[in-house]
Amino acid sequence: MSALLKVEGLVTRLRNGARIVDDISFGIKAGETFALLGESGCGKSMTALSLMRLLPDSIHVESGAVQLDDADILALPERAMREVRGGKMAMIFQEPGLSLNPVMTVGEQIAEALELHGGRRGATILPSPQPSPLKGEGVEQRCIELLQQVGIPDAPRRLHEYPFQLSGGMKQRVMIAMALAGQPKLLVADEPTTALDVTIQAQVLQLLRDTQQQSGMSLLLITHDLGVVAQMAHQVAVMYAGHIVERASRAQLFSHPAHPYTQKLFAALPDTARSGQPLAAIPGNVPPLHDIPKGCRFAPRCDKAWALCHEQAPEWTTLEQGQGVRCHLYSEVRREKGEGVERGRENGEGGRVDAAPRFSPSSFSLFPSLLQVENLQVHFPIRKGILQRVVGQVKAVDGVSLEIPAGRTLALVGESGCGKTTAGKALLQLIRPTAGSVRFAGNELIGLNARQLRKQRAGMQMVFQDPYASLNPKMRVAEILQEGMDALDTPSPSGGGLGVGEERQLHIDELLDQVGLAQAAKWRYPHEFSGGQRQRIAIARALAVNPKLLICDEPTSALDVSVQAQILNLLKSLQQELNLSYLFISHNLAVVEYLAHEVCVMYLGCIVERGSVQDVLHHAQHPYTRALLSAVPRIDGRGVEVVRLPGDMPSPANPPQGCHFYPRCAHAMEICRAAYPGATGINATHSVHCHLYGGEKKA
Amino acid sequence: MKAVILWTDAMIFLLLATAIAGTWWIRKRPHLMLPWQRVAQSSVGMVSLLVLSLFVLVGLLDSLHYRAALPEKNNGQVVYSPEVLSAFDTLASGLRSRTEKTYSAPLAACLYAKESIETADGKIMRDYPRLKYGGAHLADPQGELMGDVVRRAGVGAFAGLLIAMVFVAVAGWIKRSVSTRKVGGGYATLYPPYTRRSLLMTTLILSILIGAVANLAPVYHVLGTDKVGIDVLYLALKSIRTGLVIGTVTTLVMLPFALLLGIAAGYLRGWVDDVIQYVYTVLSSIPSVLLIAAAVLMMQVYIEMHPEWFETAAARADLRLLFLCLILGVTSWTGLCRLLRGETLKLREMEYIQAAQAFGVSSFRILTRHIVPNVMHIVLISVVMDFSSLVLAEAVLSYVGVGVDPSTMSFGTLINAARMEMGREPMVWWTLAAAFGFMLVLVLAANLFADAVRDAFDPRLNRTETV
Repeated sequence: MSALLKVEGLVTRLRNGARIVDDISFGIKAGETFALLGESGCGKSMTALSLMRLLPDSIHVESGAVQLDDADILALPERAMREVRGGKMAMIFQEPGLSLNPVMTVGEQIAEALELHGGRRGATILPSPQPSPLKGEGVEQRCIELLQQVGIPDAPRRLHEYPFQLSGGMKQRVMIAMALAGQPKLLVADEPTTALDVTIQAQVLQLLRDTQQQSGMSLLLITHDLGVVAQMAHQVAVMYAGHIVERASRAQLFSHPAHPYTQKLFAALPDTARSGQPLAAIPGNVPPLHDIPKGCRFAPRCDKAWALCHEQAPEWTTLEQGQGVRCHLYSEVRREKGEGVERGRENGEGGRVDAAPRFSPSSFSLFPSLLQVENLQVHFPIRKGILQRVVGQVKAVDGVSLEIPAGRTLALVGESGCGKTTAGKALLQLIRPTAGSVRFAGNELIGLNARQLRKQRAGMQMVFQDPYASLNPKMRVAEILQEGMDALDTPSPSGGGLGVGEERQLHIDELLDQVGLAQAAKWRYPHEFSGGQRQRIAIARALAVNPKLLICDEPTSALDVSVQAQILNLLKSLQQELNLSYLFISHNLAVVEYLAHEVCVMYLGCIVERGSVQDVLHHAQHPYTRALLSAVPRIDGRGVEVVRLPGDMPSPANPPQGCHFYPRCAHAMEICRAAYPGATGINATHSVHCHLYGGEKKA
Repeated sequence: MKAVILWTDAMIFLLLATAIAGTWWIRKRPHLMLPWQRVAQSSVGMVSLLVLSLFVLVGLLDSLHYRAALPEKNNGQVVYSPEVLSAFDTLASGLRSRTEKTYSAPLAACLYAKESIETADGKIMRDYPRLKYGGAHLADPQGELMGDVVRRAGVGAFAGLLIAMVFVAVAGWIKRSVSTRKVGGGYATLYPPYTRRSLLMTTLILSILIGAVANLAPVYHVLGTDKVGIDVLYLALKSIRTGLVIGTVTTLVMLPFALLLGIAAGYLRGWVDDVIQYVYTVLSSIPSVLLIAAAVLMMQVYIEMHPEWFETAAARADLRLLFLCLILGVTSWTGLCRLLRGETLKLREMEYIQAAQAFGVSSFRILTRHIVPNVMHIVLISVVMDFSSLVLAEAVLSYVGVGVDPSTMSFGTLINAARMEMGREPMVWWTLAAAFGFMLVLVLAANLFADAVRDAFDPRLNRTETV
């Protein structure tokens, strides 16, 4: 089978000379899924845009050849390119909310694509090369067909709706429908599921697979998620700093990753099997494009690098069975080198973390409780009309109770919109809870005035999701760290004989040391740091006031896999050093499995299942937890019973009567519609809110 | 001589002091210097800044007011002239004192209209009478005028060029000796070669122009004279101060309103936000010209009723100017306020604000330490943008008759005067042309400078450099 798309030596560079995509070659066969895997900033999306010739003004393709179906894409005039885009090669983007025009109905947008390219369906019957544009009735009929094809229920009605009336998953389906309108031979999907929740991601990936089977088109899948690659790809290319460093079939890549970078990526993934030991984090960051190392681009972060790696860029080497790799380890100049260097280098986290003895999953009640939350409720009133009357309540958090002992980690898991972040902020009193009780170290926090609350602030701090938004760009690191100490008048642990100012400076140095940053960092501004380093600063800021509990709100979701591992290691070692408790809010089950001791699963403002990590993630009882677990793409392709959730999460302004989950639940019974299930204990540490277990075990 | 500090002078000096303090403060902070360094690298920005600073120089000189001591004494006490003059008036005393009878065209030696002249032998003839000062040294204006003008302009231009070149050479020498003393010539990197070249060119062109005008002005009216024979060049130069005062003092008045109310509304939300929003919505739906007209007319009556408050006519006119600035300020803060409220609404949801809240940092401290520094770029840009529209607003209001005092020279009064002149036959075009030309250059320079500043502060435009 000959290749549908052939890319040879593609080089794309910025006008100022930086090579964003550097000498990339690959081919995609018809009906095949080819995955481009890499961390952010390594040139994946720019490769895709180069293929579509949709590069921004400041970036241009310098050399190389792109052959699609024997047409030389880079040589085509712009007019012919319009036929190719959408007609032969279509693209879907990461953020479905931004890729649909908000003032056009879904039908109009699909019809637009159909009127340009839709005639190709007729062209297979008629020999005419001219596409006959579809008009009128035919267009609407075809739109409905397309929407049904991508699994949108009630397609004729949806056709006349605007994008804001659709959920994120639906919008991505509409995008796929638009891409399919031209019946392209190649679909370029740029992180198609990154912005979606796991259950929706599973739906969309399934849809892509089904569509591919039906139409036989090829798929160029761009992603950073090894799990998605494992599920979808036939061939995989791993990109690093503009180069393809390894190319292999999925099976080869997952069984024998050749390049040290690929090996590291696998090792950096959190996983239960390793939850006692530190993750193999890759030290450092992806090099910035204007400052690419002279030799191998991965050499500064590679623990197998030797002198040659820093001097000479490795050539492309083909191994057996078509696996290719760009590494000196495999080239002819390969020298025997001590293999199996597993630990990170000294400047990374690897050296700092001691393998901790694994806690046996014992009952939480053995530990003295640091934070006790009972029946926490956060309701936001919906106001309408000229008098701003309250017409309803968004029950973002609706009766959450939890307990965190000192030195332990509780994970709060759920999809976006389930109220987990709101719950975290309500604990800190950043959002005033509507009702309930929050007792921290024996003191009730709810109902305190600002001054009384300030005394309690030092005990509990928060680490935010987005390290780019959580540091004030106009303040230097030292000022950022000092702010909390000044506001709360924190006594410095190293005190004695020094003035307050000097003491604070010493403490700042200690903090930077603790989170693994150089002390010189304190006079710099946040924009000079990478995402991972910024998250370290954010952690140091929280630690500055000597808290006992850190609320970590998705602290790694904005970071790359390799950097995520560094932060997770840091959190883990800090817990051991300082006996910190964490409330870890996350949607990433693998991270939770690695870090947490106990897990609470949230759905629509309520906790549906709680228990130790073992209980919840390996013996899940609630149908929602099971669906969540099965939706996570596993890199080992382990045979998990597939539970697909239909539909989206309902709005918390109008939750379903009875059990909130029943409209999406495969096991829904009559009683589920009627009443919200109470807690049922499975064992001493594991409880679940579900009628499936209520009946027989209630006694 | 007795120094007089008018209200607007005080405002201008306050602003100047603030600007100098601000510059000094920014110089010590490299991250704040960075955008200004980008401004320094933009040739359009630097050229417009050069032109703008010439205007500012004239405006500042014109703000140093004094009253001259009269020769006669009253019981041994020094008596001061009722006329308030400025340092600029002293420099341009020739321009000020050489008033003709009525209209004369630019660079003319005769009046613009024929008059009956009594000749030496008692006959009455109608002809263009010679000017008292303009071209008075010429024996035969018709034959010599052209040649004399060209010669004087040429000599002046050459002198200007010479002075500029000496100045540039000295500046270059100082810079070189400074930068060799410092580590690694900081100036060379600050100004890329093309910016230096365009700055140099502009300096030379401006000095040629100024040299030519300076050499012509003592014996000619370069831009003609107006109805009562005052040199139009003098009028136009005096108008600069009025324009600058309107542009800057108004900003000074509106900035506290816009900044405080804007960020307070955005950050505190709730009823504070409601009240502030209602105030600015109401204020911006009143036609501002009507509001200004009403306020100015009321003020005028009030001033007329209390003549004893003012020592001099200049003080009276100045108070009216100040009041115009105040009322313009009060009506023009709504736009910036709305912008700042929106930006603050966005910022208050940022996680670093929440982190500060989690530390129990007080609202006031969050506003001053976290919000204000992060909206300053908007303030800066919109202030520079507003400047030009305010200069134009003064012109429009003076044209309508509710602007500055008629005795205050401003672009608006110039244009207002030109209204009648344009209808004459033959048309008197130079008053309007002078006001138009000066205003165009001033506003264009301000706009281009604001543009350069905005580009330098826009992170999206400057990202590619750092990538």
